[in-house]
Amino acid sequence: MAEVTAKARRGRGGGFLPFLLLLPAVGLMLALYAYPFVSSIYRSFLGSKGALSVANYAKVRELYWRDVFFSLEISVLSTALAALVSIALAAYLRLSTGWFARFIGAIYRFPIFIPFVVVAQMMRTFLAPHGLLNIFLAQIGLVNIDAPLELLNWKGLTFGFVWKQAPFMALIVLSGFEMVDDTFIEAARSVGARLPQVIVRILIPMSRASISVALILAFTSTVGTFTLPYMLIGGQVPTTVTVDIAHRVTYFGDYGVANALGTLSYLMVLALAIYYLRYTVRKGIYEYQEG
Amino acid sequence: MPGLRLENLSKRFGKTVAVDSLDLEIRDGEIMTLLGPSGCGKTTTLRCIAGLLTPDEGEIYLGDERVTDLPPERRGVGLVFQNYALWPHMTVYDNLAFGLQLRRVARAEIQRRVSEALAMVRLSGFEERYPRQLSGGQQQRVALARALVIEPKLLLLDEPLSNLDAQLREEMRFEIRELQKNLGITSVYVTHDQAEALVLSDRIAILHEGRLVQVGSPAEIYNRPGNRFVAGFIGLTSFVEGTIVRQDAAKGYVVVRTRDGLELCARSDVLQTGQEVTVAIRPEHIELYPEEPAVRPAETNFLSGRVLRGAYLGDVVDYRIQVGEWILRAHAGTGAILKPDQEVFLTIAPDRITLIAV
Repeated sequence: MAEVTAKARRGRGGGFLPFLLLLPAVGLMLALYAYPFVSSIYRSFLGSKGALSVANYAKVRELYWRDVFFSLEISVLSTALAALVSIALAAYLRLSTGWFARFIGAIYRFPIFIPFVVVAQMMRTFLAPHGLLNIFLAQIGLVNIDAPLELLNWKGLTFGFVWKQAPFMALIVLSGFEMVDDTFIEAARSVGARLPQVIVRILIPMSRASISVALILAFTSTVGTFTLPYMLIGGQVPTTVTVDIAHRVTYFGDYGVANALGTLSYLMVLALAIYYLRYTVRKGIYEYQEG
Repeated sequence: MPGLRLENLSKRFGKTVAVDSLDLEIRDGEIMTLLGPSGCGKTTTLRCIAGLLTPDEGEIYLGDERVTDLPPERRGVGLVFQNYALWPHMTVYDNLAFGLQLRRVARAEIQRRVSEALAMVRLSGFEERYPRQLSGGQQQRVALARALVIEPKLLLLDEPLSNLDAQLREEMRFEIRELQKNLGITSVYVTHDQAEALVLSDRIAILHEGRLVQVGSPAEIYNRPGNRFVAGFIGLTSFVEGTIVRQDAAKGYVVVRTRDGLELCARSDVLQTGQEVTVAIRPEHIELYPEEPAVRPAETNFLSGRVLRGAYLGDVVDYRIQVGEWILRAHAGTGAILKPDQEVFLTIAPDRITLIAV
């Protein structure tokens, strides 16, 4: 009996030890992520006198409502376009074996390693009224250089996001496509599928998990990007929520409204985050059942 | 159903010649097996026929149509893979319907043909299941139905039974054979399993190092191997080297003498005295006697030897017997098991000996 009790004690000690070992990591997560997250939401509901209030949200509604939707629209549009580009690029790299595909395969990742601030500077040079793109289009007669294309607006911002995010998404999507065994593709071709049908009916559905992850990560990153919109469209109306947050903090020291804007950003990604978590949990259970 | 013709087909991967000047004709409604060890070029040949690889040289004709440059989707060829390759995100119905949808077949017609194809492989009622909900054998039958539902001109099967357990594999051999015969569809079957090839095929093409070494019916290939490789690859064979020293043209027999003086009589109408030959003997064609028979059987080879070892195989015992400097394998019943070092007597009918010119 005494031995059993001693074993049980050791068992309880052994059961507690893993939690102790996890404590530093969990502590850091709580201190660096959870606390600021909860704190910013809480502070967004504090009025100027420290009482609970929705005044900050009322100000957001009054001054920045258009920007909130602009941020959402730009993020959705950029992510959707980047997804199309990345799927096309990944499909090309998956299904082609020539030297050009190998060359593209070697260079397409470069934009991933270029910081947003550098991308922003490049886009300003490229998209400006007398930038490289307008000069090129003028030289081939498509644009009058005295009335150049105005691209330092939502169009340029979307272009910049797509340029930066598509390679990153392609990397994830391609890893999914690579996991689809050649025989699935060959089986489709043998029953009559041409390459576009192979991509749409076989590769994309079989890589749904990778594509979802790419969409979620790109969307979340786009919603939270500050430097690219700040340097491309700055304080234009409309602008993005991130520029508004910087504006409220830098010029007004108004952390309440900044936190309210931040909370709305959280909400934008929350729906996707919930989907992502539900998807991964379901996938985990499914794989367990399969095993 | 049209036949298939390969003319001077070659395929190289870098400096490796996977298929070397292959000429082969597969007749209408015939099932031809490409048989050979790993790396012999059988799967490469199949992939060239399917359009998944482009040959470096040669032509492929399906019936009278030259299909060498056609992409796989325009060849009208059904393909069955070793790993089944059923699309996991589609139900059984969708897996079968996919090829018909691509051909813009009407929905009612698709339903009818999918039902018929599933009935053909005895899987009616499995339409709504996903591949992961099926056993390996069921998945392979769905893969077969998927290949057949598009009514291909040619059916290609790439080691389709390799992932199944032994018992199921044996059942499926007969099912595939029966299905192929009922449909009368010209088929090419790739395998490295000689038993599978013997059961399934109308004819077998043996490939070795990218070259075709022999084509023939299973019985021809087994009983009259064209060279030492074929004799060694199909079934168990013992080899003895020698030279033809006499011949009896009237009876069609020749006598082969080995370098240690052993003489074997075999049937041959074509080989001449002085020809060096390899003598191939199957273990089941050797009769063993634990004691010297009082009367030696007439017109047969009579030898004596010593048992090296025996391996019990259930229905027979596989013996290795030292005869002169040669080791012969012989199968005998399990009634009286011979012991190592025991003297033993052997008879081999001349008709059962294959001579291969060196």
